[in-house]
Amino acid sequence: MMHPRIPHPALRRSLLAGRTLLTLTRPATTPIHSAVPLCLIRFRALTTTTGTGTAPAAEATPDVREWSPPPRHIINGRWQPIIGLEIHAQLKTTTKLFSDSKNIYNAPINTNVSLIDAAYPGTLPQLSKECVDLAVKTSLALDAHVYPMSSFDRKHYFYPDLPHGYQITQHYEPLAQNGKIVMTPLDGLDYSLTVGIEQLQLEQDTGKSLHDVYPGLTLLDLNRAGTGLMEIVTKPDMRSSQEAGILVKKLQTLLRAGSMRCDVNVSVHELGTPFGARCELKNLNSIKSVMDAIDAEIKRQIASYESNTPIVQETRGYDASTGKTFRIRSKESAPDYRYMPEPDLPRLILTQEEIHALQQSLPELPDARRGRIMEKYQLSVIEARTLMGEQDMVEYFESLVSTGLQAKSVISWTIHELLGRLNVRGISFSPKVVNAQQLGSIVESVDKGQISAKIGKSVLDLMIDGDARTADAIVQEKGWKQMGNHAELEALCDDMIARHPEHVAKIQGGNVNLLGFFIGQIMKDTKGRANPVVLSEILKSKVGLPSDVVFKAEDGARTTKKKKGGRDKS
Amino acid sequence: MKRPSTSALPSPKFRKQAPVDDYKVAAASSKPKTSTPASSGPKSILRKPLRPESSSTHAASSTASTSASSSKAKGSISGAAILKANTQANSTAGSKGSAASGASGRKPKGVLKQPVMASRGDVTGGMGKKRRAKVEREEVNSGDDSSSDNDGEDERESDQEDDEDEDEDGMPTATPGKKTSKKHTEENMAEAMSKILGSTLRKADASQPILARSRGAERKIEEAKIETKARKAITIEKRRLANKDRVKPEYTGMEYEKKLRKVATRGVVQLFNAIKAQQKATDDLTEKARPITTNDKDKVASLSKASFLDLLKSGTKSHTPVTAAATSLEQISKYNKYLNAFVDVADYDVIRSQAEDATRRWEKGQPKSPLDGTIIGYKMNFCTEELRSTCSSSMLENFQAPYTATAVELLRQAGAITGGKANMDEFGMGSHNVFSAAGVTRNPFGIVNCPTEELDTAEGRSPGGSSGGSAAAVASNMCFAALGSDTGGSVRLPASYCGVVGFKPSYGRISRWGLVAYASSLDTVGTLTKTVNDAEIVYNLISKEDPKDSTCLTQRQRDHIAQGITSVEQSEESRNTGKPLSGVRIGVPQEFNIEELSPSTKSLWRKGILALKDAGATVVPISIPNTRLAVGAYLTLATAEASSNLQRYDGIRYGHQSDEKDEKDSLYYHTRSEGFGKEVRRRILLGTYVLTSGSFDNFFLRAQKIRQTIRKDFDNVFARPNMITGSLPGEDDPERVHALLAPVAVTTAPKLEDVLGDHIDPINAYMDDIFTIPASLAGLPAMSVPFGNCANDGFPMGLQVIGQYGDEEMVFKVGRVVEEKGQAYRR
Repeated sequence: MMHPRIPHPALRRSLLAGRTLLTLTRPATTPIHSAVPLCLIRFRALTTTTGTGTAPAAEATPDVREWSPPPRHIINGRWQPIIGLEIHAQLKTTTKLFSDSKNIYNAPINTNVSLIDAAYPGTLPQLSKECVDLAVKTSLALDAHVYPMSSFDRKHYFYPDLPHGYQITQHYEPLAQNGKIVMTPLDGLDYSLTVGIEQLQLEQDTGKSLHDVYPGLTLLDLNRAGTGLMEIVTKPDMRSSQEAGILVKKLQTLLRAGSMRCDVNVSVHELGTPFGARCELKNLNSIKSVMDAIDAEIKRQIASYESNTPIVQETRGYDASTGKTFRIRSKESAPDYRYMPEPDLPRLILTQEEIHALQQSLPELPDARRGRIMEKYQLSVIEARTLMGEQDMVEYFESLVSTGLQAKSVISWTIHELLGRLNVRGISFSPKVVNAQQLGSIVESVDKGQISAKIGKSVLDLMIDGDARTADAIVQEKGWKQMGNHAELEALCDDMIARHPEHVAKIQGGNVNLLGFFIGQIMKDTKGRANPVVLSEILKSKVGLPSDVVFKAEDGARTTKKKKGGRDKS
Repeated sequence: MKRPSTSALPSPKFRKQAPVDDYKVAAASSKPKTSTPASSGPKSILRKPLRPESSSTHAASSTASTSASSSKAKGSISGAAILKANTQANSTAGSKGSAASGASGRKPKGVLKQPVMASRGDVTGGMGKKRRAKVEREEVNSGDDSSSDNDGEDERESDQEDDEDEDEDGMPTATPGKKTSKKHTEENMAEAMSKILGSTLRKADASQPILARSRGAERKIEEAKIETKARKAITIEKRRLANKDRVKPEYTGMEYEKKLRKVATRGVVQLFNAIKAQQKATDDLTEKARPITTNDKDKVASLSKASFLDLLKSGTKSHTPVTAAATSLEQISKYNKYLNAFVDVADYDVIRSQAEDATRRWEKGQPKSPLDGTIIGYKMNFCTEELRSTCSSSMLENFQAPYTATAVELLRQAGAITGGKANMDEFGMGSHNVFSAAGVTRNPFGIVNCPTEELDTAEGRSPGGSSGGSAAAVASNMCFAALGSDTGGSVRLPASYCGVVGFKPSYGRISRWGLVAYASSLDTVGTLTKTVNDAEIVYNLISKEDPKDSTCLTQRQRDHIAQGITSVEQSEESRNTGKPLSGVRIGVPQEFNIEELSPSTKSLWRKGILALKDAGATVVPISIPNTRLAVGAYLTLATAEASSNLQRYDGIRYGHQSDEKDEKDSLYYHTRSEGFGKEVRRRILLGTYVLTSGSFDNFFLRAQKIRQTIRKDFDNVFARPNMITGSLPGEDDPERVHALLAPVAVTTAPKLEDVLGDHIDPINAYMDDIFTIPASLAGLPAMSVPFGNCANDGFPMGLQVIGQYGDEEMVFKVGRVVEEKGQAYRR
C-alpha cells in the first residue's frame, strides 16, 4: 500500500508550528541559504489580492513592468483589446504532486488513487521532488525569478471530484514571478513582442466527474486527482488572438506539454482611457478555441460598448458550435475560495545551489536552439521549426551531421523523406523508427554516388517498414548498387545514341530537353541504378553540349523515375 | 410551595441566548407530572445512557420532574422542594448537608457563612444548566458560603440538579398567573440580570461549597432586584477600577477579544466579592478542608500506583503483562459502562494472548521494549486498522481506517497491546468530552472504587477534553498509558482533571500521520500516563522522524535542535547539596495569575513553586505579556484550520452519507448537517467566517501575528535558544529560565451538567483552555503533572511545566520533581 516516501530535501520545516505570515518585504536579491536550515530569515510580503486592508508592503516593492509597447490592433479606430492568459499545464512526472500514485494518462479508472489522493482522514501530503524540479526548470526557462522560499495554500470549494474539499495551490507565495516570453517573426508574428509572466505556481489537479454514464448518476475517476499542474499567469500584454495563439503554441513547445487548459482574460478599452472591465473565459482546451473565443469576446465587448452597454466583470464560457461566449457567473456570485496557508506543508525552501544546479541541467531553450541550428547548419526558419517541432529530432539531426555528412542532404532526408514518410503512415517521429545509423548510411551512399536518391528512398521505405539493416546491406542484397563505372555508362550512352540518332539531331538542333529522354531510357534499362548526374555529363559531352547546359526535362525525368521507382518496389 | 415561586421566575437570559431551551421548557412543561425519558433535551448527547436505570442522576436529570420522584430518588430527603431550590454545585458542599449525605460517606464540612446571598437561592433556581465560567465561581463561593439555610441538603449535586431541572421544566405551568411571560420588560430584564448573577452563584466552582437556599421565592425576587441594582453599581465601579489598572491590550480588533475582556471584567468584580467573603478562609483552605474520605484516599493511591512497568522490571512474578492485562480487563468490564472511557474495546482474547506472548519475552529477558506487553489505549482520532476510528463523530461512525497511524504503529512494534479506542470530543473540539457521538465520558475520580450500588448515581464530573476518554482510561487503570492529541490543551486538561500525567511534546516531534486532523498547525500527539517516567518511555518510543508527515522533524533537524539544548545549566556550589534542580531557573508567568483563578488553584500553584524551590530551583517571575490574546488567536486559527480540514467529509468516499441526495448541493448540506455535531458545526462556521476574503486580514492574519508574538514572548524568557525561530541563548541571564511552572486549569473538573447542554456560553467554555493554549500556539513541550488535590472537593489538580522548544528533557526533569512533591501533598 503506502510506501515510505522520501520527501523533497528542499522541503524543510519553516517554523515550528505552521507557517507564520509576516508582512516584511524581502529584497528579491537577498539570498536565503539553507546553511541554517531551521532558521527563517525573511518572509515575503503577504497581501491578499482582495485586500480590503491596506498593504504598505506591496507599495514598497518597486513595479518592475517594462515600457508598454505602442498601441496595436486597434479596432474601428478606437478600441484596443487587452488580453492575459492563465495556462494550466500538466506536469509530466512519474508520480502525483503530493502522493506516490502513478501519474499515467488514460489508466483504467480509479487505479492510480492512494489514500492521500482520496483524502482519507489522517493522511498528509508529501511533496514530490520531481514535480518541484520540473516546475523550477520551467520557471527558469521562462526567465522568471525563482523564489528561494515559497509556500502552499488551500483553495476551498465543494465539488465531488475534489476529494479534500480544497485544492493545494500557491496563492500567497508562488514559486516564481516576473518571467517573460519573447515572440518574434520567427514564431510567425509580424513583429517582436515580449509578454511578461506574472507568476508560476504549482498546484493540484482535480479528479474527473463523469456525468450521466448512468442516467442521473455522476461517477468519479480520481486518477487525475492530485496530479501536478503548473499554472502560468501572463501579464495583460497581448492585444490580439493571434498573439495569444502564438504564445500558447510557444509555451507548448517549451513545456513539451501535451494538453494545456487556458483561462483567458479579455477586456476592451477605448484608446486613452483606462482598461475596461475584464471577462474571464474559462476552460479553453485548444489553441484554436483560445483564439476563436478571444475574437468572439472582443467582438461582443466592442458591440456592447458601442451600444452604450457597459461590460461587467464576469466569468464566461465559449461555445464552439455557436462561436459565441456565454455567461457562467457574475462577479457577485463568484465563489469565495477562502485561501488559507496549507498547515500540513512547511515552506518550500530552495537554496541558490539547488536552483543553480537545475539551471545547469536545463536543456537548450527553444529560441536559443533555433538560432543556433539556423546559424550553424544554414537552415531556413521552416526547416528549423520543423526539426524542433518533433521531440528529439534536433538531436537526431545533429548526431547525423556530426558523423561528417552534409547538413543540406541530412536535413532534406530527415525532414522531407523520413518525416514526410512517417507522416503519411501516421507514425510519430522517434529516433527509434529508423535509427540515426541507418539513415546516415543512406545519406552517405547517396552522397557518394553509390546509389541514386531514388534507390535511397526505396531503401528508406524498407527501413521504415522494419528492415533494421543499414543501407549497404540492403543495397547489396537487392543488387541496387549504382553503376558508377564511367566506361560502362559510356557504353550505355553510346548504345542509346546509336539507337536514336533522330533525337541526337534534335538536341543538337536546340531541343536540349530531349537529353532527359535518354536519361530516362537508360535509367529504365538499368532499373534506376545508373547515376543520373554522371549520365547527363557523359551524354552532354557525347552530343557535344557544354556541361553547364541546363535541360528542363531533368525534372521530368526525375518524376518519371520516381514513378518507376514506385513500380519497381511493388 | 417553593416550586411555584421558583417557576415564577422567567429566565430571560436563557431565552435570549438559547431558544432551544425555550422549546425544551415548553415541552417539558406540558407534562410536568410525569417523568420524561432520561435522554430528553440537551442531554440526549448521551447516546448511551450511562446509568440506564437511574432516574436521579444528572444524565437523567430531566427525568425527575415531580417532587415525589426526586424525593424517592433521594430517600432521605424530606422536602424535595428544598432540594430543588438548593442549587448546590459542589459535591463537597454535601459536607454541609446533614441528612442526605450519609450514603455517599463524605464528611460534612463546616458550615460557611453566607451573608449576602442567602436569599438568592431560587433566583438561581432556574439556571441549573447554565454553564458558568469558572471565572464567575469565585464570587459565587463567597456569596454562597454565606447563604447557610441549607437544611437537608443533599450532597449529591446530581440529585439536586435533577431537581433544578425539574424546576426549570415545571416553571411555566406550575406557577399560576405569575410573571411567566417571556417578554423582556424592563422588570424582567432586571430579573434577568439578577439571574445572571445568581447563576454565577449557583454555578459556583465545583471546588467551592455553595449553598443557595431560599424559601419565599417571591420575596427573594424583590431582594434579588435590589441586589441586582447594587451589584450593577459595584460592577460599574469595579470595572472602572479594573480598567484603570489593566494594561490595555495592544491588539483589540477581534470579537473574541472583546468578549474575553468582558468576561475578565466580570471576573474582577467577582474576585472582589470572593476575596471579601473568603479573606480568612482562603489561605489555609488546603489545610483545613479535607473532604476526601478514607475511601477516596485509597482511590488516590490506586490511581497513582506505580506503573506496571516498574513492577515488571523488578522481576516480580506477580506482576507480568498477563496479570496487568487481567487487571485492565477487569477494570474495563467493571467500570467502562459507567465511565464510557473506551468506545471500542479490543477483543479480550487477543489482548490476553498478546499479553502471554509478551510475558514469555520478558521471562526470556528479551522484551521488545520497556513497554512490551503493556496495554495502551488510543484516542478515537488515531487511525488503526483493527478498530473503528470514528473521532466520536456520526460522520465517521463506521469508519474503518485502511491504515495505521505512525505513532500507533511504533508502539505496536514496541510490543504494546491495543486496549481499545478511547472516547473524545468530536474531532477534538471540546474541553469536557461532552460533545461526543459516543456519549459523555465521566471522570473516574469519584466513581472508581465506589461501592457498586452507587456507581449509577455517583457524581458525574467532566473528565476534561478532548482526550477525556484516554485520560479516564488511564486514571481508572484500564490501560497502562494512552495516546491523546493536544491541540489547545486536549491532553493536559483531562490529565489535570483525572489526576494523571499528560504530556504534549514539541510540535513536530511525533508524526501526525494517521492522526485525524483538527487544526494541523497545532495538533500534537500527546501521552497520558500514570507517571512522568512512563510518559518519557512512551514518548521516546514514538518520537521518530517520519517522511509521511512533512511537519515532523527530520533526524537532521533533531540533531540541530539537540545542539541548542545540550548547554546544560550550571549547577554551582549547590550541586553538592544533591538537589535535583540546583541551577535550574523556573519561571512563573505573571500573566497566568488571572482573576478567574480559583483560590485553591492559586494556593496549589504557590505550593508548587515552593516545592521547586525546595528542590534547588531558582524561581523567577517572568512575563508572557500576550497571554491574554492567546485564546482569541487560538480560536481563530484552530477553527479556520478545522473548517478547512473538515471539508473532506462529504460522504462520497467514506463516512456518513445522507439519504437525501438528489442534487450535489443538497447532498453536502444534508450529509454534513447530519454527520457533524453541534460544536463541530459551530467551529466550522466560525472558521469559515474567519477565512472569508473580507475577514481574512482582520482575523486570520492578526491571529497569526499574535501567535508569532507569543512565540517571541516565550523565546524572550527561556534561557535556551529556540532552534527553530533562531532565538538567542541566554544561559547566563538570571532573568531567563529553563522551564515555566503554571496551572493547567482554572478549577478542578467541573460537574458534567455544568458543561453539558445548549445553554453553555461557548466563549466561557473556551476559557477552559486559557492556560494550555499559549504553549500550544508556540509549539512548546508542556506537561500536566498531578499535584495534590483541591482543598474543597478533593478532586485532583495538575500543574503545568512548559519548556523551550525541543527541550522535553527539562520538562521531564522538572515534571518528576513536581510529581514527587505532589505525592507528598496528597498525603
